Amino acid sequence: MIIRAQNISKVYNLNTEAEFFGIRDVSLEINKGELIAIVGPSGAGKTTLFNILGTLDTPTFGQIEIKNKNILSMDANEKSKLRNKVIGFIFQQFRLIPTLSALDNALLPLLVSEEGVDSPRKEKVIHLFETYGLKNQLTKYPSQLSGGEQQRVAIIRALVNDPDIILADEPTGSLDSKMSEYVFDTLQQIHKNNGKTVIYITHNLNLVEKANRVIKIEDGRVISDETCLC
Amino acid sequence: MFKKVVSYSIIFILLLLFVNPVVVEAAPITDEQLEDSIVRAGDYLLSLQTDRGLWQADIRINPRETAYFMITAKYLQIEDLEEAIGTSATWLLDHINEDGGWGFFDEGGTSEVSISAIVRLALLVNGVDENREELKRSAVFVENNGGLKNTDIFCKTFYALFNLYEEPWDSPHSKIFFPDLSILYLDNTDEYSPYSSMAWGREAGIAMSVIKEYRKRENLHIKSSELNLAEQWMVSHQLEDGCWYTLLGTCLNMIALHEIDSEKHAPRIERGMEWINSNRESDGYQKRFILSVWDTSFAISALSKSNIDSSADSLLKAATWIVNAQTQGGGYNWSNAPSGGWSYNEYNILYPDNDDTALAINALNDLRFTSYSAEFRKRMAVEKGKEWLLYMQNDDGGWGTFERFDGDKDFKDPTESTEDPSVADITGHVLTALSSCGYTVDDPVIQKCLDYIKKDQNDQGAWYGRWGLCYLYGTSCILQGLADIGYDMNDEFIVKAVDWLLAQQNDDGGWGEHFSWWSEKNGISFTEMGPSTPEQTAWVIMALMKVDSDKYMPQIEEGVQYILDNQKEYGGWEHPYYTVLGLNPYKNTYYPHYFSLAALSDYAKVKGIVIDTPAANGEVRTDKETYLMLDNFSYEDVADEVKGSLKKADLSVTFEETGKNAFLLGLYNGGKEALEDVVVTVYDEKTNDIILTYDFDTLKGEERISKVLSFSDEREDSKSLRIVSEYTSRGEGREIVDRYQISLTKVNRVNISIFTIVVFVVIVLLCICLFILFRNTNIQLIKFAFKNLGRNRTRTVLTFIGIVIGISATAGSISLGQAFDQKLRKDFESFGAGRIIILSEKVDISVSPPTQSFEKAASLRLTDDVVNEIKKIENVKSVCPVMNYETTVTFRGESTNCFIQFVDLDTFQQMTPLQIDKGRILEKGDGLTANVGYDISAKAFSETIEVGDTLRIGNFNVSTKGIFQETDGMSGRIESIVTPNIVIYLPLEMADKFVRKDYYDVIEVKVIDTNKTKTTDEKINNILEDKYPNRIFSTVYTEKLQSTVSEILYQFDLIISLIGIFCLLVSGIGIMNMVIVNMTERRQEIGIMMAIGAPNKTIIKILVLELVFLGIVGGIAGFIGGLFVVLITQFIAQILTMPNFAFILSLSMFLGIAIVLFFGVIPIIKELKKEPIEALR
Repeated sequence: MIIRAQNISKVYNLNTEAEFFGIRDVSLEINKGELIAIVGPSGAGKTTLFNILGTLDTPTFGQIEIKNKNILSMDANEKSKLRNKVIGFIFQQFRLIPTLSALDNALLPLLVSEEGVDSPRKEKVIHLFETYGLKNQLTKYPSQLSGGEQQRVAIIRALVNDPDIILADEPTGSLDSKMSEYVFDTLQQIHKNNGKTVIYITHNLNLVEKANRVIKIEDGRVISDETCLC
Repeated sequence: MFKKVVSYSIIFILLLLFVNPVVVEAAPITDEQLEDSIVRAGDYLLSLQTDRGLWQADIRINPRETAYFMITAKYLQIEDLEEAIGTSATWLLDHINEDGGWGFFDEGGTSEVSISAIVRLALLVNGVDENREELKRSAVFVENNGGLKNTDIFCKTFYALFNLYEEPWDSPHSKIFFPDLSILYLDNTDEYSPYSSMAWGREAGIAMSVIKEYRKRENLHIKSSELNLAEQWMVSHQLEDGCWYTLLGTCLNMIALHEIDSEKHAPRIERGMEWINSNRESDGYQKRFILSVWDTSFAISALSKSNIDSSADSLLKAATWIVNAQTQGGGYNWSNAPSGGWSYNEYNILYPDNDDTALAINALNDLRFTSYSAEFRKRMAVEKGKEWLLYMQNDDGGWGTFERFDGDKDFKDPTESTEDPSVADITGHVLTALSSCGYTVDDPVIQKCLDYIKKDQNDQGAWYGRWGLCYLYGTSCILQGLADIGYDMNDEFIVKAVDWLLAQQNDDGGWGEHFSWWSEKNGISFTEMGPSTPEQTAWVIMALMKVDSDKYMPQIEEGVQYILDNQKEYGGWEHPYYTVLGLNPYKNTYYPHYFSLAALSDYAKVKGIVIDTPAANGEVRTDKETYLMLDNFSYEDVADEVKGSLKKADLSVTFEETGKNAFLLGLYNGGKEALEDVVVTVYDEKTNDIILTYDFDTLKGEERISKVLSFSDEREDSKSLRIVSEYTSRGEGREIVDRYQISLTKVNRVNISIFTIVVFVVIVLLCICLFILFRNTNIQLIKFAFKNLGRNRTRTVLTFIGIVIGISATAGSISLGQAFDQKLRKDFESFGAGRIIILSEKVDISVSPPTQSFEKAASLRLTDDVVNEIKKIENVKSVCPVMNYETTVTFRGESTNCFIQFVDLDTFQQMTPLQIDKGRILEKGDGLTANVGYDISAKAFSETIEVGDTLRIGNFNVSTKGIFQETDGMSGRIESIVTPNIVIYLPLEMADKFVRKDYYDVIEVKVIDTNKTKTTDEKINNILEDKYPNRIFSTVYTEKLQSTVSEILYQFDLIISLIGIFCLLVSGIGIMNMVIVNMTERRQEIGIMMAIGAPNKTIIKILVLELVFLGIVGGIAGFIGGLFVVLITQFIAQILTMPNFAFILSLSMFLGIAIVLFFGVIPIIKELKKEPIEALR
C-alpha cells in the first residue's frame, strides 16, 4: 500500500456561516502500481483530494500516510523532500515556468534537490526528451511549444526524480483529442513499463475506461470505488 | 476724516488753553499718581505704534511746502492734480494772517516775507484771482517787507521760473545754490565740492544750477559733459520712496529733470510726485518729511524706561524694525564713511546721520532680545553703528549731523543751514550712545570730545542745540551725555550750565523756550524763554536727575509736577508751540508724549518706585522673559540658565557650564558695602587639588562680575568640582561664603560617526546570516539565480534603479560630509601653528549656547600700548597689528566691495602663512601700495590684476606690488572667516588715510616655541587682564580652534548621518515595494517550485541570491552615482578636497547588499509561510 487516507475532510471557512466541505470523510487505500482515474462533476472535490494526496494541501480532519509515513506529522521541509522524490505532478495548465527553457524546466526538480544537477542525470533527462520526441525543443521556451509538447515537458519534469507516484490533474484537459490520446498513452506506458502508481483526474470517458480503478466523487464524498478486473 | 476731527479738536483745546492758562496747584506727588500717569502715558504711546512696529509723528511746519507743491505741479503741468491744488489753495487762503502774510507756523505765527511771497506765487500761478482780497493784502505785505529782493533764493528761483523775476538767472555762481557744475569734477574733500554743503543744500543746489542753465536759453555755455554728470547725479540721488531728501529738493530736481528731458525722466518725476502726494493731508496741507527712525528710537527708550509690562511685545517689534532700518551702504557722504549709520527714516538710504545713529544705538542698547540670533543681529547692528559714530567724529572732538570735517574749519555761524559743524545736541546723544557701548570718560575719543564741549559752551553756560529748541535742548543733551559717560558732574563748567538751566525755570515749574524771530539771529535772542512745554521740561529734569538728583530734587519735582498737571485724560500731552528746529522750526506731535514718559519714568526710578501694575487695558504679560528682557533684568530672570547658585550674606555666586572644560562664573555683590579680596577657588573633589584660583579683588556694592573659567583637559570621564568663594567684609576678617559642588561631564568624542557604526554592525550581522544560509549551496543554484535576473529584465531594471538612487543619495551625502569635514580640518591646520590672534571682543568659540554676559564692560582697545605689552612677553617672536576695513575698490571702471587689511610691514612677512605668487611682498617704505589675494587678482574683476596695475581704493590710487598664491586656509578675520584670497593688504601706516581709528581690530602674535603656544596664550591673557581689568577681549590659536571644530563637525556628522539614514529608508521602502510586486508576479513560479519539491530554504536562497546580485551591482552603480553627486556638489560649492573613493565604494557596496536584504527578505519570508496550494492557485 502506497497511500492510505483515513476519514479525511477538508473544510473551508471552518466554524463560520460560509463553512463548506471540499471533501467529506474520504477514506482510500491505494496500492503500488495502480492506474487510478478520479471522476466526478465539477466542484465535487476531485482537485481538493488531488492536492491533499499530493501534500500540496493539508486536510482539516483525518489521517494520511504515504509510503507508510504520516504526512500530518511532517514539517514543510520533509514534505518538500517527499514531493521531490516520491511524487511527480502533472497539471492541466502544464505549469511550466515561462522564463525557463524546456530543459531547464525539466531539470528544476533536480536543481532544487540536495543532489543537484550532474551530467549523468542531465544526460538521462535529455534522453527522456528524445524518447518523447522533443529532441529539438530542448532550448525552447514554453511559449514556443505546442500544448502537447508543453505537457510532455511537464511529464518529463514529473519523471526526472523517478518518483513512485504520478499525480495528474486533468492532464489532457487543455489538449485536442489527438494530442490527449498521445499524452495519455505516454502516461499508460509509464504505468506499464515502470510500474508507477498513476492517479489522474479526468472528464474524458475514454480515459476513464483505460483505468484499472475508478473512484467517483460527488459532493466531496466517494460514491463508488470500482476496480476493473481486466 | 478722523485726522480732521483730531486736528480741529486740538485747535479747539489750544484755543481754550490760550484763553484759560492752566493754574498750577502745588500738591505733593504721590506714588499712585506717578504710577497712574506713567501707565496712562505708556499705554497712549503704545497705541500710537503702527502695525509695522514703528512710530511716526506728524511734523507740522510752515505753509511753504504747500506752496512748493502747488507751484511744481503747475509748472510740470501734471494731470489730475487740479482738485488737490484747489484744496491746498483753500488751505493757504484760510491760513493767511491779518497783516496779509503767512507765518512760520502751520497755524499762523509772525508773518515772514519769503514764506508770504512763495505762497502768494503758488496762489497766483494756479489761477487765484489777483484782485481777490487775500492776494491784494499779501501783495501789500510783501512790498512793505522789502519786496522780492528781500526773499530767499528759492522764492526768487520759483518766481523766475514763471518769468516774474529775472535776478536768479543773471546772478553769478554762488558756492551752494547755483554752483558752477564743474564742481562735480572735484574731489569729495575739496572745499568747493558739492559735499562741502550739507546734504539738503547740495541736492537743491545742483538741480538749481541745471534749471538755471536751461532757462538762460541762449546759454548752454557749459559743457554737455557737466550736464551729463549733473543728470547722473540727480538720477542716482533719488531716494527709495521717490523723494530727493527734502520736499524742496524733490520739487527742484523734478523741475530740473523735466527741463533736461521731460519724456525720458517721466517715471522719475512721477515717483517724485507720488511721494509729494502721499505726504499731503486731506485738507491740502503739505508735510515735509517723516522721521520714523527718530520717533521710534525715542519711543523705545521712553517705553523701556517705563518698564510697563505690556510694552515688551511692542518693543520687540520696534527694535526689530530699527535693526532692519540700518543703512547698508556708506551713504553719500564726502568722506567714504563705512556702512552702519541710521538715517531719519527707512527710505532714506543715502544720508545716514549721527543723531539718528546715536538714538538708534541708545534704543537698541536699552533692550535685550532673549532670542540669541536676534540679540546677535542687534549687537552686530549696534557694533557697526558704533564704528560709524567713531569714524564720524570731527577733528574738533564733537559730532556734526551728516558729515565729518577734518582740521580746523571755520564755521561762520552755527545757524547757517548749509554748513555742518559739530553741534552740542548731537554730541550729547553720541556720548550717551558710546557710554551704552561701554565707553568711559577715560577713552581718548571722549577726552577729545570734552575739548569740544568746553569750547562750545557759551558765556552764559548754555549750549546751542541745532535740531531742537534750542539752548535748553543743547544744554540738557550735553549734560545727559556727560553724566552717562561718567564725567565728574561737579566740574565748574557743569555747575555753570546747571545754574543757567535752573535760572530759566518758569513759575509753573516747567521750562520753555521759543522761536522768536528767524531773521534776527543775533546771539541768544534768536530764541527766547517762554511758556513751559512738557518736552522741554522733560529734557531739563532728565538732565538734572543725571547731574545730581538729590541736590536738585526741589526743581525736579516742580518739573515733574508741571508734567503731571498737564497730562490729558487719554494719557498724552498737548501744546501749541514749535519746539523743534530743522532747516525751519517745526513741531513734532509725539515729542510731548515720549519725552514726558521718559522723564516721569526716570523720576520714578530715582524715587525707587517700581511700576509693576499691569497696563491699564488689563492685559498682564507673564511671559515677558520669553520675548525680551528689559535693561534692568536680574539673575532671577535667567534662573533657568543658571545651573546652580548659592547665596549667603551679600555675595551670590552663579555658574553655568559653557563648554567641555569651562564654565561661566558670575559673582554679584547684593549689598551696598564693598567686599574685598574676593577669591574663588575651584578644587578637584576627588584629589583635592586646586584646579584654579581666581582673584576678583574688590567687588563694589551692587557690582556684578562674570568670568569664563577653564581648566586643562584631563582624561577623565567626569569631574567633580568644589567651588569655594571667600571674601573679607568691612575689614571683619575672612569669611568663607560657601562651598558648592558641581560635576562636569566630559563628552567623549567618537571619531567614527554613529551611522558608520550602525552600518557596520548591520553588515556584519548580515554577512553572518548569509554565510549560514549559503554554507552548502551548490553552484548551480547560484548560477540559476543569476540567470533569473536576466529573465525578466524590466523587473530587474526597475528594482536596480531604486537601489542605485538610494545608494547614490546616501553614499553621496555621507561622503560629502566627510569631504567637508576634511576640508575644514585642513583649513584650520593652515591657520598655522604657533599663531595667536587677539581680538577686542568676546569670540565665543564654543558650540554650546552663548553665555549671558552680566557685565556691561568695554572692549579692550588694541592700541600700541597693548602691542608693546605683548612684545615684552617671553616666547613671543613677533607681533603684527592689523586693522580691518571694507570699501569700494575700482579697477578699470569696475567697482566692487573688498576687504582691506592694514598690516604692520615690520612683521607681516614673517607672520603671514601666505606665499607670494607674482611680484613681491610689501616692504617698509613702499608707500601706498598693495598686495592682493589670489581671488582679488583673478576673479574680482573681469580683467586679471597684474603686478604694477593701479587700483582705486576709496579715494586713492594704489599700485599693486605683489599677488599671493591661492590658499585654502584662513587668517586674520576670524570673526567673519574670510579667506586671505579675497583680501587686499595695505601698509598699516597708510591706514589713517582711510580709517580713523586709534586702535587695531586684531593683533597677531607669532611664538618662538610652538610647543609653548598654550602657555604663551595664557600669559598674554593674564597680562592683558592685569593691565586692563574688566575689558573684553579674547585670544584664539590653532589648538583652541581645533577642539571647537571637532565639536562642530561632530554635530555636522550627526546631521549628515540622519540625512543618509533617511535616504536609505526611502529607497529601502521602494525596494520593499518592488520585491512585494515581484513576489505577486512570481507566485505561480514559487508554487511550481514548491510543488516539485523545492524546500523553502532553497527558494529563499534563490530569491535572496537574486537580490544579493542586484545589491552588488546596484552598489557599484550607486558608488558611481554617489561619486557623481559628490563631484557635482563640490564643483558647485567649489570645495576642492577629493572625496575618499575607497570609503564611498565600500559604503556603497555594503549599503547595496544590506538595504536589499533587509527590505527584500521580509516579503519573501511572508510569502513562503503559506501552503504551496495557495501559491499555485
